[in-house]
Amino acid sequence: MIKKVRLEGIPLTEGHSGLHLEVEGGIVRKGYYYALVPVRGFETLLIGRSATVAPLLTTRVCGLCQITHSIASAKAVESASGIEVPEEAEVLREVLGLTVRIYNNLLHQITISEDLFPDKGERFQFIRNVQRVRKFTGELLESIGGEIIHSPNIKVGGISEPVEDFVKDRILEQIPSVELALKESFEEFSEALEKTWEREGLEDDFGKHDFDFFATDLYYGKVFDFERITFVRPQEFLPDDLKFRATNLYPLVDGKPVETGPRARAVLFKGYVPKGGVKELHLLRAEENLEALKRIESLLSSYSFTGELWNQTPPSSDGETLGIGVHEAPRGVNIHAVKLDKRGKITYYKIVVPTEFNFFAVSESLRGVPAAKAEFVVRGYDPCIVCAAH
Amino acid sequence: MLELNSRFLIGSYKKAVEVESRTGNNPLEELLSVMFDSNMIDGILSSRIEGEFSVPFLVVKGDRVEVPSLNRFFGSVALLKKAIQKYRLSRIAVVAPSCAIDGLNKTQYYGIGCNWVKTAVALKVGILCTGSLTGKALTAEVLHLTGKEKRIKRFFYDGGLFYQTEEGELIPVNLSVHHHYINAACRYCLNLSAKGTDITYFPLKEENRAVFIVRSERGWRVVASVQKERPELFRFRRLKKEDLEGIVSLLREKALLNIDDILERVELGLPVPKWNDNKLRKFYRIWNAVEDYNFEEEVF
Amino acid sequence: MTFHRVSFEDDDLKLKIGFIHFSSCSGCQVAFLDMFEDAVEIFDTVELVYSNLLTKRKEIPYMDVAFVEGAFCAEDPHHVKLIKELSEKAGMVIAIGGCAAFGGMRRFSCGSQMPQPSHQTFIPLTEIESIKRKVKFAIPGCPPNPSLLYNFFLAFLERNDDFLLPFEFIAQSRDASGFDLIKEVVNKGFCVGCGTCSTACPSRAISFKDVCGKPNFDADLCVRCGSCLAACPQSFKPYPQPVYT
Repeated sequence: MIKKVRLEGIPLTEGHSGLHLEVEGGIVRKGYYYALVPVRGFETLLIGRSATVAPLLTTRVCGLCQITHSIASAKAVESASGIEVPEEAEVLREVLGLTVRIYNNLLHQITISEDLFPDKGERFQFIRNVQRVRKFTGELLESIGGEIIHSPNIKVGGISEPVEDFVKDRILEQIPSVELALKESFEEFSEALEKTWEREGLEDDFGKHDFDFFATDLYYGKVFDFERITFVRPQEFLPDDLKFRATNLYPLVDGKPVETGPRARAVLFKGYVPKGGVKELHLLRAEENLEALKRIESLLSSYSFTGELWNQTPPSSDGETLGIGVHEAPRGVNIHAVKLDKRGKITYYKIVVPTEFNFFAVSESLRGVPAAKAEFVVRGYDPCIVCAAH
Repeated sequence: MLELNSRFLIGSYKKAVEVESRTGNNPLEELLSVMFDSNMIDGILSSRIEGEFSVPFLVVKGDRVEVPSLNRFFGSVALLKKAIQKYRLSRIAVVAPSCAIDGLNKTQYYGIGCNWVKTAVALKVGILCTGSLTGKALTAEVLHLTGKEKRIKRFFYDGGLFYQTEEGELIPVNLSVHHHYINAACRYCLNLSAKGTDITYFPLKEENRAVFIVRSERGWRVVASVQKERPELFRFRRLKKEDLEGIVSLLREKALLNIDDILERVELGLPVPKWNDNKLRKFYRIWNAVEDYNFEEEVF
Repeated sequence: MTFHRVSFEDDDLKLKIGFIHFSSCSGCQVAFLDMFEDAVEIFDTVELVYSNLLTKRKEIPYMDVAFVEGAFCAEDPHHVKLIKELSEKAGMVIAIGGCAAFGGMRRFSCGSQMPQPSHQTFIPLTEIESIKRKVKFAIPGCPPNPSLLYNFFLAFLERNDDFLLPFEFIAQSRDASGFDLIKEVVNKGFCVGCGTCSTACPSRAISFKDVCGKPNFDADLCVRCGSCLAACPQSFKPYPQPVYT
């Protein structure tokens, strides 16, 4: 007999989300994952506003991966209005994006630490180690981005403040010790992950699916044809009350559901052969931290940022051109699309965040897992619900 | 009841000294330079004159040390975030009048608006101030006093308030005229001598002479270690209470003008600050009260 | 203020705190974690009984203090339930961040976005009668600084009323944005031009106007977080002077 089960409020994830499961003999036959935080309406509130404020406002879509929205937003406005960005500013944006990748991935490790470390003492020790690395990322975000959360320095046309060499050098000096700490915490993390899987009796490929992967770049983000994305609305297929309660859209790429994020990047750009399952996803996410740190080091040491980083040409467009900004956020492809009029006022805005892509991937991964363990699947994707219901 | 005595006007202090710089430079600039060189500080938050304007200015290692030379001390705290969050400075010296120091103190105490400020300030130098002027206000004031437009280079106290023009002419400033031209909020100021700082500074007639009213242990340590570091640079002369009488009477004259404005504002029922009216209504009550009041604990 | 439990000897007697999230970006809760190592010490001192992000508990238990971020959305049935639970289960509510305290960026929301175009009514917690009496303090910022949260937390645990008083005023004042800074300070002749508001603004909406020595407020950039007015030394300064450190 098939039972319908609702789990709403998935602990150890961001925001408020739910699972609608059809369960037979304790095993999930079919599952839907959906967001439950209100739609704040960023796409409509931006209309009529000056495009120059878009990065500042859209960064407030999310408090976890803030800067990825300001980067995607700035790039979208720049592409709609043909504004050229100084090369160094793009490099700095990539650095900031990667910093947030580490900052956010480690936040996820803190979030799921109760799963990983049943012992409170061990858990707090782990969080302490992780926080040491996060402190460095916080410092980097503050120095270059202006603030840790919601960096105001990302502007349409570049970065508002140059970075003096002594500021850059102070960051570079810290990287070797941060790298060491990051490696140590990676060991701790992967060991604890193994133990968790053992303790919970989960298969190695627990929570797998056979969807395609979607990513545009390993580190920064490349332009993507927005026409290829279509949306399924909750009213079209979710059961009953979820039609008016679910607050996310389900985007498809070329008409198909996809997975985006660390694994997609590894498969598409590093030739990684996926085994499937969420354990692998956890590990790949953690590995990205080390790669991101190396990339930050190499970018910072090969450029100088003391010159003008901001092309202050006011944005303006014809009201028709769709400007697309794509950034590889910690959780995957983050796309902002915008149209502006001649005065530079926004006439259309659309945000597609990685978690939205992954809603179908999570739903699909639930198939065949024990209902009691369904939450482990969700946590594996590190969903950001506030982003999804922007 | 409040008495406009030295205790209220200058506040408590450890020692007051007259400092003469033997190199001919401004003694405060000299002091801060030595502190820079010996790594006692890693940045100075202040302001400087750029053309007609006074702009907030952050001195970091390698820059020329400058302190404000005019009665214009605008916006120093605006650069606090840059100093701390961007440059990660941890031993900042601040040179500003009491109003800007108030903003800094508040940021240190609460942490609103800027991270890690509490432990990042190494020295607070308060400028004794009789009211700050914008560029236009200074032009108008000088026109009022002399009938001519003149380029003012610096201000100093010598019995009263004086301006020195670029050509070296000295203009005595009538305080009630000055009171008319200063920034509106300065007319309600009751902390002219920057109580609550480590050192209160005011310039004297000669460019290389100034008075330091050292208030805190930290301020005294700074003066002592700079003297130890570079004994050849400074000549210190301990000031007695009587030596400060001139400045006390100047402050009293200005404070009375300010108090008149405060009393008038309260009596007219003009709006008070949103969340706190210590400086206006509370002061009004204290001023009109018969019993003694322990003002050290109060904020005006 | 009333503490139901005040001793910190074992878990059962620790102050029970919770984080509740209404309509916002979660940044305020993350700002708590951005105290970095200090956050661990604080979570060791108190007992974190509820947070969707950090605890496994599904039901909201009794909380001595609930730190709440985000504005209430009237069209969301979950928010309606949350407000009821909050008024029953929280001893005290502390509104953190612009959205919960003054509406913040939610003041711009106008609804009509897929998939739920009806979501359009956003109300800060300080304006909701049923829990207003429990909202004792409001902390400004978008998000509040980790330093501010740390200082606030210590003052709260030590019951330092001098420190806490202004946050009580803020909880009652509803409005605090760049406009209010201009209205309450600059227009009323209290602005001394110290620049503190400019440093406090998280969106750099306030720069410094050299010509008049006053803040230059760019309304387009303001996110209504209240940091400027809260940081302004003219809006309140209740600590004893002089301060030497």
